[in-house]
Amino acid sequence: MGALALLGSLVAKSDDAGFCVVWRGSSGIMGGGEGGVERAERVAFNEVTFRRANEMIGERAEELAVTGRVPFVCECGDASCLERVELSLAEYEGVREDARCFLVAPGHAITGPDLGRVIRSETRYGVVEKIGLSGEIAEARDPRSAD
Amino acid sequence: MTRREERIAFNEALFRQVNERIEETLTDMGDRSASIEIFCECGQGECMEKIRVGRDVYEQVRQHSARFLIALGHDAPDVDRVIETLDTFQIVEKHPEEAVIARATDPRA
Repeated sequence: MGALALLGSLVAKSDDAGFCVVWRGSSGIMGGGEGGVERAERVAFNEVTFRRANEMIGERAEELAVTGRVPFVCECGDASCLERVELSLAEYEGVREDARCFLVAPGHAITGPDLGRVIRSETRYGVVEKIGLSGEIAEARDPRSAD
Repeated sequence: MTRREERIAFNEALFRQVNERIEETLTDMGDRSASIEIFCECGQGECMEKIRVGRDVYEQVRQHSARFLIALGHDAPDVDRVIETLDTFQIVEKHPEEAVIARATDPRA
């Protein structure tokens, strides 16, 4: 099944509000739902949403001719994450080359079957490659793939 | 609260969180423009709309945990009510039941 077809089936089986998020609040994990598949969907949804924010930040940084490092947001699957990750635009583009890869703050990688694996670990940042179901979602919702 | 209402509430909270990070980051990068482009906070998981809002309006809305900025026509009367309609976006307020989630997830609270 192709990525878009898979995404379509996921949306079809969820309700009309689409995916639900994972939120780590003061009272623990919020967002509802049980099971590995649903969790993988929710984590992936959070990650692709933060990636969209970074795409916007990167574009604006170029317009503002920002030199040096740009304060991107951590793209981990925790919706309540407030961490920033400082990268040059060239470093960021390196992460963005693969639609399945996400930028995370050190120690923020959410890994496991249908979630992802760490493929790069630097002092300032890490890169997580989404695998299985969440990898399909990451590809299907890559804003650069839609161009 | 139904499952759908809960999903919308958490999705709205996620997009608010993302918009807060965008606004903060742009400011730190030296962006002094009077308006900023943010994501629609309607809570529909598939929504990809962006809206441009004045920073003053953005700040006014952020003073209320239960209020969100959405693209025109993206309101859902069963979960929120329209407070104000402007040229390209609307300000909505969550109904009391769903406002509990909005308050619990407000990064400024």
